Amino acid sequence: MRYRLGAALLGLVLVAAPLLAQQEARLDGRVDAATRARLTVVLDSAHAAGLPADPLVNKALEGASKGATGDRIVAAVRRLAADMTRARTALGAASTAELVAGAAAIHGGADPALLNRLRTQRPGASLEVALAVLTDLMARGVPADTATRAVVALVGTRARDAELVAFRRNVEEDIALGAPAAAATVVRLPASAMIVFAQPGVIGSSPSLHQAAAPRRP
Amino acid sequence: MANNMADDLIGRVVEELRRQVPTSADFDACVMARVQDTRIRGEEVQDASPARLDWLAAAWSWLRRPRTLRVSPLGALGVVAAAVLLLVAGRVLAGRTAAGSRAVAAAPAARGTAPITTAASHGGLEMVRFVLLAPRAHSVAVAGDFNNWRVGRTMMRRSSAAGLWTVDVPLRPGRYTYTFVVDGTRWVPDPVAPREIADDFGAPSSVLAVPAREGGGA
Repeated sequence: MRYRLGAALLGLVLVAAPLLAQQEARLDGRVDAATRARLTVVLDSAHAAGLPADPLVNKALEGASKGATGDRIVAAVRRLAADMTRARTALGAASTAELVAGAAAIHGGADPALLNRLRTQRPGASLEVALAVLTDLMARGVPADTATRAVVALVGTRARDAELVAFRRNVEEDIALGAPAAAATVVRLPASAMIVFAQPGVIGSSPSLHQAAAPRRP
Repeated sequence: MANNMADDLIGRVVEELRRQVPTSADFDACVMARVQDTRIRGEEVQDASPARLDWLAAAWSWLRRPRTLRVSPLGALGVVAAAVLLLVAGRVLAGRTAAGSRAVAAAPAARGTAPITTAASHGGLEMVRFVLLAPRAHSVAVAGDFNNWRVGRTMMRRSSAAGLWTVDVPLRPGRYTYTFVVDGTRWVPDPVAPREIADDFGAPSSVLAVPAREGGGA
């Protein structure tokens, strides 16, 4: 049994190491040697922690293309690795896309405990779309807590991915027409999800329904 | 001694109670008149409901009774013409209401200057069309996770005199960040796509989620 476990781990290292090298090779010629060396340390640490290297390398390449300094690139990659670590703690076993979306949500202020609740609501099923909808809502100006509670309420009422996407689209349209982001989110919730959203203590404890629905003063 | 006094008191009370109370001569007549009056009012109240029921029954009977309606051909034509007129007017009004709804619904997409991203199936990959309206641009490219953020790798074509730039990119389902690059130097986020929450390099990126087809793997 012990030998089998050791062999499995060795196999994993043999497979994963070339993949990491492949990812790091994407940085060739894109950043200076000093930045590359510092990035390698971050990537190795992330790899040791079981985080995927692909999103981290993408972040570094984005910074390089946009002309960011080495310090700024390394800081951004470190920040993303930290957010992905928190996302993985909240979500448990997660795909790369789930980790990246979860990291973005946490960076935007989403409560990791609510992300964990998403996972418990959909055990074994992909949260990729739910998390993408969550981050999109936050990017559109919906307060992090309102957006997270809305998505948790929808997933809690067994909304399918297509329904989540339709919900996001409706909210975005309302915002584009001038509706306050938080109010648009609450108004677009189906009645069943609204009940879950409005129940105090069921999802978190912060802003009340009235606070979320109250239009902002211009 | 005390018992004798009590007996005496009781005897006097009994005697007082037995004494006849003098009444006026018309007392009996007055009482009988009141009784008669009360009986008459009660009959009036009891008679009210049957009277109303009779009226309703008569009305119902009048409505159900078959009648012969005499209408001249000219009168019949007038009635038909009025009905057709009402029908046409109703349809015109309904059409105007629907057109108004469509205009409101289409408002967000009708921002003609905004880039559009569409997806179409293409042999396992999803063909994503990036669109940017940039009338004064000499060149437009799109850089993102899908092309290692290389600015010159995915150039867009000017597809109209109005300055519409487009490019189709085959992408696997997943989450991508990207930015348009106008004239090789100016980083422009997609105005209609959600922005990435973390702006690490002072030039915001947009987020694109390419969904997996129903029944297909991601």
